[in-house]
Amino acid sequence: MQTLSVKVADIRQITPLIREFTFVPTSGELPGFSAGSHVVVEVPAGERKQRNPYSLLSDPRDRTQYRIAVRRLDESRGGSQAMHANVDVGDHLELASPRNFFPLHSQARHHVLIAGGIGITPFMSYVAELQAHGASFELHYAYRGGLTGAFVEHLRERLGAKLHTYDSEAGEKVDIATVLREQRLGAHLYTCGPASLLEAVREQASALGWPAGRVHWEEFAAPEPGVPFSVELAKSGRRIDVPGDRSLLETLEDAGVDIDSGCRGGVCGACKTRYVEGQVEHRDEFLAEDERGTYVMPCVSRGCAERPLLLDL
Amino acid sequence: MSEASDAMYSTPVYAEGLPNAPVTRRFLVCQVPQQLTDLRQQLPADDLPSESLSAAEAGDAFEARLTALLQEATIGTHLYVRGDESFLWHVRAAAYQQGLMDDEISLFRTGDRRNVYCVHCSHMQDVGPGDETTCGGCGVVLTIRTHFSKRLGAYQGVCLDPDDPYGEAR
Repeated sequence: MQTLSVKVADIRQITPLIREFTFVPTSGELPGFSAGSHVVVEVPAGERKQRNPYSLLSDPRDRTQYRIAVRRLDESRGGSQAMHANVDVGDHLELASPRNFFPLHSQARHHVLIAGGIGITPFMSYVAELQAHGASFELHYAYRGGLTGAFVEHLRERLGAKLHTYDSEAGEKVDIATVLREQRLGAHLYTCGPASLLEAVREQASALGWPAGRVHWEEFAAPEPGVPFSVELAKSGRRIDVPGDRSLLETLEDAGVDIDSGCRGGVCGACKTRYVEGQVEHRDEFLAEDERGTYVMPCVSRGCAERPLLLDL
Repeated sequence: MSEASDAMYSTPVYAEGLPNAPVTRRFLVCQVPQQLTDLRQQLPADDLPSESLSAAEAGDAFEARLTALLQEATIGTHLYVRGDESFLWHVRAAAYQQGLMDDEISLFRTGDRRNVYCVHCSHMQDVGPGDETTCGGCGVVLTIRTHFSKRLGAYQGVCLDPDDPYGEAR
């Protein structure tokens, strides 16, 4: 896959958990992107590289820099910890070009954004885009004061009454039903944050008669560990072992197998791969039920320990 | 050729039943008042709030009232439209303009009138049953294809016989 070389120009510790990184191109300009896009960062984590997707925070019209924010997760497989511990100003990093699985809806007459914690990140580029076009929107931002509310002050200055904040440390909670109940026809809803928030928003929207086409979400889904298993590549006859703490996609990439990827969280479909034999533990949200006997999403799904998975690669 | 195999992907399919999705408010729009009665009989007997509008009763104020009702409506409103195809797609265009999506609109077709768009001169006309018509704009005899434009709310009319476009030899 083609990558972009960037230099880390600035690092800001915004809260004890969240660090913001500014990347500048090593030459020329960076590719433009649409609001809601993310990049996949090759994180230096020991001998191996960990590829993690991060939403772009910067203004989509600014080709001189990209900004991302990383929340440190202690229980994660180390990608976010490595970003916090191993990356310094002046370092060079490789990024996969921006992709967008969470775009603004072009027909929307009003945009309702609901963010939880670090889920604010895709909305940072939304806000820049919406303000540039004078579009109608409101942003609801739920966070833990002092820990995950990275951009509260920045947004308060820029958005005024369009921003509604909910600090859980102060006992404040977003009342999703109230936010959704009086929205006029033509509004679209976007939500990003922890799975519990996304589920609550989607349930409430559906109960209030919002059709699925008006409700958009992006989940920070990272591959979960599992049992070690092995795969065989049908075309080359190679056999590759997948450790319990690595995804199938990462293992194939480590082994030099050319495979496309996008969200790395089981939603976009870019890494969809055909399998010929074996059992798959499907963990994605992309494949239809009748595709699951033929295809696997290697970014999140895994084989089983008993027998190798034969991939059509 | 049977009607089914002749239909194109773009040929509209009209609602027969009611949507399953939760609805919090109903908005019924019909061509003539009798159709409102027909529509109400199809709807479940519940106490959801509803508004209704008949084009025949509203007369010249129809467009303005339709737009005003749509502008005030909140999400969860479902629009039910009953009438001939010309009317259905006229209302659907107004609803689309106010931000409704296809999932929020159910179209129930009655009657045979429909719009035909002439691909030669862009003239739009309202026609009755049959698969041929003469264009009121350029006079070309048109065959009415099953290809339908949702944007225009019309079927496509194409010259029936290029060797005799005005049907003079017939």
